[in-house]
Amino acid sequence: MEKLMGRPVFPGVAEGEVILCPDSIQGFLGIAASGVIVEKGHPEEGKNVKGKILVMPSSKGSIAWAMSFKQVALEGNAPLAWAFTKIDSKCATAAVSLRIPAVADFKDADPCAVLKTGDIIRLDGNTGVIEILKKA
Amino acid sequence: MLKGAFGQDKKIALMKIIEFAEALGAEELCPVTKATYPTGLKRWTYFTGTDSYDDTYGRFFLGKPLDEGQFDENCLGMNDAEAHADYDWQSVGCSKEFFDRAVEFMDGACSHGSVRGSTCTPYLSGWVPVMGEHFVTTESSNVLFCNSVWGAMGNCGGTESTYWSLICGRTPLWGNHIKENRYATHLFKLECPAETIHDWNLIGHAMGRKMPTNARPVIVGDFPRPHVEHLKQCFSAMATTSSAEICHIVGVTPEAQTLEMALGGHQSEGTFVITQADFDESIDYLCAKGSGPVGYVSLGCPHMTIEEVRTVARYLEGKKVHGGVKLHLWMGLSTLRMAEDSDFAAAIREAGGILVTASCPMNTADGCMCGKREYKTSVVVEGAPGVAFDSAKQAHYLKSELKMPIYYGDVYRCLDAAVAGRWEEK
Amino acid sequence: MKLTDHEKQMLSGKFGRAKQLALQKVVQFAEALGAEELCPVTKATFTVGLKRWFFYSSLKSYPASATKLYLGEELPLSFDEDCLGMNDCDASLDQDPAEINQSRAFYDRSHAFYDDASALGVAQASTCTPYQAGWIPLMGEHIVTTESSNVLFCNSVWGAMVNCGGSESTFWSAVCGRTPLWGNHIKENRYGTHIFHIKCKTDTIHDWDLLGHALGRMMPTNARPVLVGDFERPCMEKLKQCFAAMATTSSAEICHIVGVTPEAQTLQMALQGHEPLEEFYVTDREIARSQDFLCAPGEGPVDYVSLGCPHMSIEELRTAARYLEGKKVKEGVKLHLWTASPVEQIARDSGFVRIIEEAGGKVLTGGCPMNTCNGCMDPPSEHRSCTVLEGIVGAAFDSAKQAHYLKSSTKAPLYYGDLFKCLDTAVSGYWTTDKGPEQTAFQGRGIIPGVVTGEALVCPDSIQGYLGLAANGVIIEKGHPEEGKSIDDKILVMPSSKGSIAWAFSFKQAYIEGHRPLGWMFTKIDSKCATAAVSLGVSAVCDFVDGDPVEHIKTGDLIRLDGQTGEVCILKRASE
Repeated sequence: MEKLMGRPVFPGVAEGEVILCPDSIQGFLGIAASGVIVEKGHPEEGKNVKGKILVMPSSKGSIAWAMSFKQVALEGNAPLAWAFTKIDSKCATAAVSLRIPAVADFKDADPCAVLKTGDIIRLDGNTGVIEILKKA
Repeated sequence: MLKGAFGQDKKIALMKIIEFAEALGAEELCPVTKATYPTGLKRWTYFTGTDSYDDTYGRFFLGKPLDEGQFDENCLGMNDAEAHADYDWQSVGCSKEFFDRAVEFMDGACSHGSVRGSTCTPYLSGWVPVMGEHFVTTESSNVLFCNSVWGAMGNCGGTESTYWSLICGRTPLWGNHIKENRYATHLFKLECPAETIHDWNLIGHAMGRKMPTNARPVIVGDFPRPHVEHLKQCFSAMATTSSAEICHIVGVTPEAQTLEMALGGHQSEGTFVITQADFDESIDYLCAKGSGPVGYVSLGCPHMTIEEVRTVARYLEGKKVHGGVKLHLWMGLSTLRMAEDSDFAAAIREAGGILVTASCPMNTADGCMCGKREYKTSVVVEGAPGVAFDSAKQAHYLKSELKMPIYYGDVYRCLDAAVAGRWEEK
Repeated sequence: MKLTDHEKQMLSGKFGRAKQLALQKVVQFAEALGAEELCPVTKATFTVGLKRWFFYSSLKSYPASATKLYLGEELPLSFDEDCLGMNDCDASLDQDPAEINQSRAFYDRSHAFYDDASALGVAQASTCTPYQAGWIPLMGEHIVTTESSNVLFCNSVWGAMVNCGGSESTFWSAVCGRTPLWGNHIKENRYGTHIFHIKCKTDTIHDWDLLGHALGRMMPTNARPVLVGDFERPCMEKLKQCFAAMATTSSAEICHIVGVTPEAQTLQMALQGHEPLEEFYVTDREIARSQDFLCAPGEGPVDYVSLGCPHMSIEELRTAARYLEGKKVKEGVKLHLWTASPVEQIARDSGFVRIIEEAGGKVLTGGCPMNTCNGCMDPPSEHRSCTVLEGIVGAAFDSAKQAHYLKSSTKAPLYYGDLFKCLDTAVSGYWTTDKGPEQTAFQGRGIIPGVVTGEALVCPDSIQGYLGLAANGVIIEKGHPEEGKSIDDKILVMPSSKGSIAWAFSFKQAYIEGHRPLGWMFTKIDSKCATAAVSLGVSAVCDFVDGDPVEHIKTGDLIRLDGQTGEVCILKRASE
């Protein structure tokens, strides 16, 4: 079973399906409160993040990034967990705000290079480890 | 503070900051002495109700209504971009109900010691962090400006982390708050026009499009010295197309007096070149094709300097804004005061322009209160057959929101469009 | 002189006579300095309202006045288009001129001049702190200004480039857009020359005001100081205060602060490879000398209190509003808080102005006490300066610059202290001297053990042994401050013994009759006290090392004395 070693960012364990965002998701006018990705030209445009595990390099765009995801969560459409190749302060704000399992700062392998949309993974926010359970 | 010696609010805020620090992997905190943040009605204020500032903002960020008392006393907190204008709300498209409640909210913030600046460019309004001073802000272009131009220290974060910091006076000692983390990683060579404010707006937009994740750019090249207007315009565009938080400019910014200083002893990870072709690509994205009628023209994103207001006053002299056009000039409260005392405002109003504060087209909104879920944004442009901006940030973001053609060009083209009622393709 | 094509065209008159003359003047100025080139100026601040010297040129209008005075001819005027001109601190303010003892005629004419200037594109902020008004020069940007503290601020804090000059040279530069490439406009000229080690207190804005004043007094001519020390990073307010004071007592134009200012990120960077010419130490003693110079001695009534030189920041206005809330300025006292008009707007919208006004203070713009004036529409002999001080009985300032300069403008005592002390003074109408913190604990040498608590009886001149204390324990020494009082169960406080060798025996006799003190202390032991101490056996302490109890303890104070450890403390004052 392939494992990716990162640093724990927010505790909790989650198992679920990956949505890969190789160029992150634009915070402002990138994700709707319904959970649907509306960013023009996004590879997963139209998909809903609810219950999925988001994998991205870090944040993108406006300082309102965390707030955009918070509103998604408040409408009941939060993702299940998330992984960031490298933490930045907007991701960390969002991690603490949404309080779902989170892992970041992968040293050996970049999850954005290894994972694909549809992969089933277990993400452990207590240890920082991602295990690939089933490839898409 | 963690024991509750300074009250519940500060205790909770500090606990959140510690969680935030742990999420980042930081081991220490640092004291924050400057902050900017919104204080009015926002889309998310619906979730906790809109009875009062203390109730709404408190429950959203701390899980409880705010107690009476001052935010951290050593921190100068000032309000950022809001959804309405401070005075002339009628031309901004929100209802009186919305405006009245928003003002109550703003006053609520003031009761905790918050200051009314109502601007995304607080550095133009006496909010002046010095080199090495730790700040927090909810405005990404302000992060870039204060980090780059003054060597002050701030990270992006979010409204949440900014409020936690404002209340407890601390932020994680991480990222840009540590000198060793601020060195440049990528070179950007300018081989494009770099003279006008509009040029620098495009430079920012183009650089952002090419910016690798987590990059800290340093600009090199042989160009005329940019001023405060050029850099604020550059940074707001850059923050739109990237997550950059610091941008060194050799020979201009204090941490880049030489290229060596900017790189801090490290090797550059890559070089990019910005050319006219990059400009053309940005313009292609930002500006609708062809000519067409416009009903709304907006200047001042980020908020205008008094010099930019003067430029508009001079250009509009003897001209009249077309009857079917609303022309907005956005600025902070202190700049509006100077514009009025200097008679620049009178000249602009004589021509038919409107000076407004606190907000900008993409932030203007209505709704989200009194049980109504609906929150309409960019209300100010409703009904216009076409809109024109001199800001890449507005043009870029509103593409996904608006159906009518969005035109983009320099301040003179925008003013010409306001006078003619029509955008002419060059 | 090496001139560009644009400059040559301007000199030939292509852009009008005013620009031609202004550039001629700048070229002459450059030649006088020994500069060979000019550089473009993109920001300027200069005064625009009525000034004493306008009387000599014209009072028709600002363009007529300024061109006649500075260029020698009355001409149509325009400023350089690439230069943001803003008006500096002036004589007039936005509100009622009577507030500063100025005539309505002067006020109206001054405002007409402001209007003329703004019609010419000069931004109206009327401030010595344009950096609080959105006038933001970047590192390396060439600027001119008529405000010395602004020269120091922009050079030091931002690495912008500016020399002191004068109203004349600033005006010429604003008109033609050029200034000589000389002095601080050249990077290589800006290196630090003298190191100042900061050893004094640097906690508050007031500390930095005093520091600037002291630094200026110590500053050698033409020095470019570098400050080093282990102090907390100073904020914008501390720096503006320091520089205003420094510019008062010296001609310094740039001040590096290691670890704080951009050209002094290290000491090496500040020195640019040069050896420092001299090193100084700024101690609390130097600070005390400045304080003594700036503040009138003693105490007295005050009817004018002024804050805000340089102009207050929004944060300082918030501090003042918080401190004044719920208080009232004494009737008959004027309290002025000076700031830039854009900052006043923010203060107004934040609710601070209302709080200050409710307390009886006023937020004013456009000037400061030493700039208030009247006249200059009349012959110069009629010109009055510092008009706001006319008729006052005493004034208090939180600015070293005001306190320093105004000494020569009024006979009334001028007091100087921090913002809080000044506001307290506005409320009480009286300046009090700072008493040091009261000493309530004393350390001596314990000579007879035992812990006792009781009321003090203080004998500043001891008790005469012979015919000073009666056998019934009553003090009978004629003229003794406690004459007629009994020593029974008191804790006696005295310097040492007095008089006859029979001193100890007087106390012994009273003791036998059943009258004795509870305990006693002697500032300094002598052999008669020691005899008495051993003879009576009551708790005793002597030889105090950290303060004389006779000076601090008052009769009736509740005292605790420990004859073992030698500790004495005041538990409660008689007056409480």
